[in-house]
Amino acid sequence: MSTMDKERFGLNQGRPRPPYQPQDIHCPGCGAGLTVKDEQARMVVCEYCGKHLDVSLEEKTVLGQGPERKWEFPLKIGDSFRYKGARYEIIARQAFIEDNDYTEVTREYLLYNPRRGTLYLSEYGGSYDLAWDTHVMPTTSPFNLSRGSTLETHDGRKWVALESGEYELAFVDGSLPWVAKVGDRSRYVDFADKGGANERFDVQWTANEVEYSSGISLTLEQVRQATSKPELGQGVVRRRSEDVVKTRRWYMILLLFCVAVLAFNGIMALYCMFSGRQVLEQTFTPAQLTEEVLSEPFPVSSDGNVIMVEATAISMTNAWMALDLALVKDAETVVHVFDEDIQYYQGSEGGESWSEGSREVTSYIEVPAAGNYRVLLHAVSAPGETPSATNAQHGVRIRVTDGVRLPHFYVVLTILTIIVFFISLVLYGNWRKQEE
Amino acid sequence: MKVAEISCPSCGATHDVHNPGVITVVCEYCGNAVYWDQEKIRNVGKQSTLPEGFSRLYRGATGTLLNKRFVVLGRVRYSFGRGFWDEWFVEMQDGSIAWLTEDNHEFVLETRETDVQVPSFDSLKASARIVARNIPFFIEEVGQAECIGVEGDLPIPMQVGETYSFADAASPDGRYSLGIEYDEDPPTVFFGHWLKYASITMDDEGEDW
Repeated sequence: MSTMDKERFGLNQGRPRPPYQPQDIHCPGCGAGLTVKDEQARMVVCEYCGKHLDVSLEEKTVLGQGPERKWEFPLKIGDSFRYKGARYEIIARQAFIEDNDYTEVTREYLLYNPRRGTLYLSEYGGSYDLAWDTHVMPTTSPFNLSRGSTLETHDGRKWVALESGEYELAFVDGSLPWVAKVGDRSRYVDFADKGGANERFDVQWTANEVEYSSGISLTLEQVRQATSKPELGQGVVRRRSEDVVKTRRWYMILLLFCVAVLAFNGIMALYCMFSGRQVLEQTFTPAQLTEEVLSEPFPVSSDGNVIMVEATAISMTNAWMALDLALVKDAETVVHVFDEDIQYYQGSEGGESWSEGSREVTSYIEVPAAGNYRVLLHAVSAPGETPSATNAQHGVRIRVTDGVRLPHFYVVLTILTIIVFFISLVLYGNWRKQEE
Repeated sequence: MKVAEISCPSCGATHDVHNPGVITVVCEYCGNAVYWDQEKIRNVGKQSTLPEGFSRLYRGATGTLLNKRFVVLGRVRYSFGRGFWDEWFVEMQDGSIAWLTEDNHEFVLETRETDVQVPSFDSLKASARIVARNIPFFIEEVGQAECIGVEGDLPIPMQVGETYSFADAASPDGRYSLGIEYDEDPPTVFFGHWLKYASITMDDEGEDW
C-alpha cells in the first residue's frame, strides 16, 4: 500500500464533517416559517395554526386541522434530554387515552439526535419509561396476554405482562417520521423483566403492523437530571402503580409452597401407611364370628406403640356387617373395645355401574404396654334390605401391624393445603384478569 | 494509489478514483453522474443533491468499523414510499469494500450472499420464513424501492429514478438482517448484521448538535 493510500485512511484524514442544518419550511396553511429537525420527518404540526402537514414530498400539503383541545405537557418541544452522554431533543409530543377516558393519559415524547436516532420517553401517572425500537421478536404470540402471563423473546430473555389495552391518539404536535392521525388506535402489551431487572419489552400493533420496543423505567429524579429541570413533577401526585412482577412472584411462591407441602404430606402419608411390621393375618369364618373368637397371639414390641387393625369382609356385596372387636392382653385382660360398621353396595343403572361403601375398615389403637395380645371378634351380617341380624353370613380377614405412625396430621394438613392452594389459584386468576 | 483520474464531462472538475471497483462517480461540484470503466466514460446527467449532516456517516468521512479503518466513498438513497433509507459504500483499508445500510439511524453491515434460495417476489408476504446460513429469517417488509439520490463513488451503475422490488427480513433474535433485491434474476441477496453504536467510531463525530 502506498503512502498516499495509508494517508487516505489515517486518523482525521477524511473530509471535514458537513454541518447539521435543519430544514426550514413554510406552512402551506398559514405561511409561517417552521423548522424541521429530523430529515426523516413525514408529518409536521404547525405550531402557529395547528394544521397537520405532510412534509414527505417537496410540495408540503395540509392533511387537516388538529383538535381544538390542547393538552398540558410538562416538557416542551425543543427541550433537551441527555442519555448515555448524548443530547436528544424533543421533536414531537403525543397524548394517548384509553377507553375514551381523558383522565387515563399517557404522554409520549419523541426524542431525536441526528447521529443516534430516536427514543421514546413516555409518562403515565408520574412514572416515566424510556424506549427504543428493537428487532428482537417474541418466541410465541404476544397478543391477548393478560397481566402476569410470561413471554420469552428470541434473545433468551423472559418477561412478565404488566398490562394490555388499546391506545387512542388524542393529540400530537411537533414533527414525526410517520403520519399520525388523531383517533388512530393501536393495541399494546407491556412487559417487565421476569427477573426483576429494570427493563421493559413492549409490543404494539395495528391492523397491518407489529412493532417491538425495548426500554427501561426511569425515576422522576433521573428524568429531572436528563432534562435539567429540577422542578419537573413538583406538585404532581404520582400514581402508585402495582409491582406486577413482584405480585406475580408472591403468587408463584405461594402456589409452589402449597405444591411442596402437598408433596411432603403425600410422602409422609405414604410413609405412615407403609410403616410398621405386620404381626398378624388371620381369616375367620362366619360361624366363628357368630360365636366369639380370639385371634392368634401377636406381639406389641414397645410401650405406647400404635397398632393398625385392618378388617376386610370377605366376598360381602350388597350387605352390611356390625363388627365388635376388643384388644385382649395375654388372653385375659381386655384393654380396648371398639366396633366397626362395614357396608358395601354395588349395581348398575342406565348402563353405568356404581358402588358405595367399602369392604374394608381400618382402626388405629395406642397400646399402653408391650406384650402379647389377641383380637377378640364378634360379628353379625345380613343383606342390605335386612334391618337386623343374629348371625354372621360373611367371613372376615384381620391384619394387625405393630409400630405404625398415624397419618392423621398429614391428612388434615393436606386438606388445609388443598384449600389454600385453590383459594390462591382463584385469587391469582382474578388478579390476572384485572387491569390495573 | 489512484487507479484513475477522470474529468467531469459537465463541469470539467477532475476526480481521483482510488478503488478499482468503482464504476459510477457523481461530481461533487455539479452533481453530474458518470459511469466510468476502462473503456469509456458515459455521462448520465445531473443527480439530486442529498442533504448532509443528518447521519454519523458522510461522503469522505474516515473512521473505524469493527476495529478496521475505513473511508466512506459514496451513498445511494432509496425511497420506499413511506420514507427512505441510505446505503453507504465504504472502502476498508485492506482494499475490500462493504455496504452499510442506514435505516432510522441504525446501521447494518451487509455482504452479498450467493447461496440462498429465495421465493419469487409475487409469492412473498410479511412474516414468511427464509433460511440463510442456517439462520431463520422472517419477512418484515415487502415493497418497491426507488433511487432518489446518489453521491460520491459507487461500484454499481446507479442513477436517480431506478426502481426495483425488495424484501427485508430479520432474524428473530434481532442480530441479523436479510435484504433481497429483485433487480435481476436470480435476485441479489445481502446478509447483514445490525451494528451496535460502538461498532463504528467516526474520526469526526460532530460537535454541532
